[in-house]
Amino acid sequence: MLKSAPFMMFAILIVVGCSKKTSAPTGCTDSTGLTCPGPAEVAYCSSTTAYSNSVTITGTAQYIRREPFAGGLGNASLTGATHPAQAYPIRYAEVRVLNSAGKPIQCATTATNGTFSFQLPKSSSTFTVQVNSRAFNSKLRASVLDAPLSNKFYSLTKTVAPTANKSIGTLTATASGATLGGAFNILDQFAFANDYLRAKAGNCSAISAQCTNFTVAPKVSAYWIAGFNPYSYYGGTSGVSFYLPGYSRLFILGGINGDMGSSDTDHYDNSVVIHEYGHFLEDSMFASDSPGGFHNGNAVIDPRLAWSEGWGNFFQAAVTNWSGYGDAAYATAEYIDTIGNADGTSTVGLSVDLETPDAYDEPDFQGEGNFREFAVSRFLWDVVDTGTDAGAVDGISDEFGRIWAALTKSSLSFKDSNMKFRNVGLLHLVENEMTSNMSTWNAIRTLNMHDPDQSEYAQYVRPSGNCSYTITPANISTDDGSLDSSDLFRNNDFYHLRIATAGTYTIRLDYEDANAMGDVADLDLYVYNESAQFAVGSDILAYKTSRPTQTPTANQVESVSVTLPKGDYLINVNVFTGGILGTEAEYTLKLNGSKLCPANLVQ
Amino acid sequence: MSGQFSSVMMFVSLMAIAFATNRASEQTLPSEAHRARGLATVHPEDLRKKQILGEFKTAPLFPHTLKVTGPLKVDIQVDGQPPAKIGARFVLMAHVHSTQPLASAQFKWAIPEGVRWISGAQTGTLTDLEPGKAKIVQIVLEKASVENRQVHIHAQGAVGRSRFAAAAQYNTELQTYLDREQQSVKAGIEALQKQSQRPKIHH
Repeated sequence: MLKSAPFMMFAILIVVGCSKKTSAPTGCTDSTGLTCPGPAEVAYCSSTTAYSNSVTITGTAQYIRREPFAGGLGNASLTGATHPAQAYPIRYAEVRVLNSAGKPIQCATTATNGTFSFQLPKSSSTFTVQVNSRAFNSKLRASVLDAPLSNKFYSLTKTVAPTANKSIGTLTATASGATLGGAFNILDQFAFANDYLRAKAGNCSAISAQCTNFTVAPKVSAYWIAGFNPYSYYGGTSGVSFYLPGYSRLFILGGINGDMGSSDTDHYDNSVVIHEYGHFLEDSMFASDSPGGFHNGNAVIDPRLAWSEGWGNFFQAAVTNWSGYGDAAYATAEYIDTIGNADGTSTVGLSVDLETPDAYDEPDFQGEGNFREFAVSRFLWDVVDTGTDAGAVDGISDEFGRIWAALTKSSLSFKDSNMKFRNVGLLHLVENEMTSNMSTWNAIRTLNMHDPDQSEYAQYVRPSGNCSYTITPANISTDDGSLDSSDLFRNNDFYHLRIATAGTYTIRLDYEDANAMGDVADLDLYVYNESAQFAVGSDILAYKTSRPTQTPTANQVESVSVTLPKGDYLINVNVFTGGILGTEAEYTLKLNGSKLCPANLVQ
Repeated sequence: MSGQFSSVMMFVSLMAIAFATNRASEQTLPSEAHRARGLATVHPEDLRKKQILGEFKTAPLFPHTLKVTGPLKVDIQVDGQPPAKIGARFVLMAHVHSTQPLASAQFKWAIPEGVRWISGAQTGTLTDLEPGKAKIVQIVLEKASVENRQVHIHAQGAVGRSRFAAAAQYNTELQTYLDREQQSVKAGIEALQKQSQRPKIHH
């Protein structure tokens, strides 16, 4: 057990204890504290003060990173016999100099090589130099803090008596003990993400005039404590990192109950850290409709979740494989998450190849790729990679700027508040509208079994025209007939309905036996609100689940009347699989008697 | 004041009645409501369908992204009493789950100083994992320190070249306390969830 474990356990019990309080902190209704503002961070130190009769103090700040390898996470020592750690500069970070009363008297910022320099009045007094786990400048805006109800950053400190120009040497955040290296590694991954975006999207207005050239992302707060599992806030025991949409807060797994040696940790799992930062980017620079929640990375899931997670998986690979990243341990397009480290028992928690499907989260049917997170990741990866795909040169490489423009441009994009139920199908539509060049990406869409639109999920429909749809039920091994286990791709269709005027509406599903054999599938009708978490009762506004009559020529009807305010809704046609599976059904949807037919929201 | 309160309650009640009437005419009701209305009006096949469809899920308190964790899950339970004193033997049972069919998974216990291994495989392979059916591995240990010690188990598997694993932890001194704290937090969260979703007009 680590020497610092008792302290960690104490800190963790305090955090858990705080999160357990049944009453909310003052001024906040959230008793978990996750969303509470907490005390303000200590003011950021950014003003440089000029002193007469001054001396120049210099120094260097670095952090130690444990590196992943095939067996897990490596050594904490730079000279470890096997899988040694690596030292990296602490970049863009706040440097704060305090006098003996604790008052800040000078500010500086670490350079790209970790060096810093500042002036102090020549004196024999002692000053404290802090290099802090936060940055707020033109390169990076982020704070790595302990907990939402505390908001304290981490510091490397050294004292100096400014009697003459001098160096205070190197301040090092280590990878063991208090493991401040973990906090500074998290900060540095955010810096790499910003560096990458500047390199690849810094001139995205050349792709679309509506795209704002990337300079620096808004401020994010990352909460991390060595040995602490942030899922404790939810009463969970499995080790988890997560992002809290709407709050610009991400929570990074520091270990479990004080342990980092054999438990899951994420502060050195750069795939996880950058993936979570990817969620922050979609929340702060464009938009996400992901319902969040559990996903094992190898299943058909809600396409909004598949998009959001697939984007995060891809973004980490794009950043860590970029030439500016410079860590050989991340030289392949993989998602790498480790458990434990070389001080305890370590293993690979998840390793997935983004270049080659290899049976993991690999779609079997055209259109299924829109419902699988790694199929989304692989498509996006194929847009930026320089290699060949499916044994042939796809002609597409290094086109991150197009992705970013499609996500962030001011209108007809993911950022556009007019768009709802955002998923990868929307990216395809936006990209096509933006460049009128859909054929260019078609090869990799096909390779990853994507539909080039939203026909399988959140197809926008309007009450005009004459149209019908079909659905063929599928027998899925994990489907026990419950709504919750229903296969979202094979046994469901989803349509986006926009209501412009509040009122009471009748939504009607008519269906009939396509083969006229009297064995039609049992279709049910659900109307969801805009958040539309599948099978979640509070999101289902109306539903009808009658049984078909099984008369060959009979028209089957499911109809609901529901009062809807102005807004966006998701109509779900669901195959009930708990009885006789049945065969293909042809159906129509009507709103107040008018057929709902596909229309284009992106035009 | 009480008059105002009564008016509000009356309004809420009327809304609830109106809403219930609307639902009864147009929406199939959840199974509990079926029972309340009497089974005589419900076709047995309709009731069966409702039962298979199951209850709707509860929305999370704060929607949040979670890192992808792979199909394997593992948890540890002590079989019997936790070890009370040095020399006490205790049995740990690890339940290994997979959310998808898996041909095999390997497990490995990590036993720290202060805990003595007595019996049971420290490493091994589990075969034919099926969703919803946990495989159980068991180990017998002896407490050799008064300080809290953390026993871990790792379970790992693969699909093609993709690999995944899960870990679980047992604390020799603190586990009962930690479990109690976790349950307390969970109960608080569940109460908040119920509170935040109670007054819905629609279902």
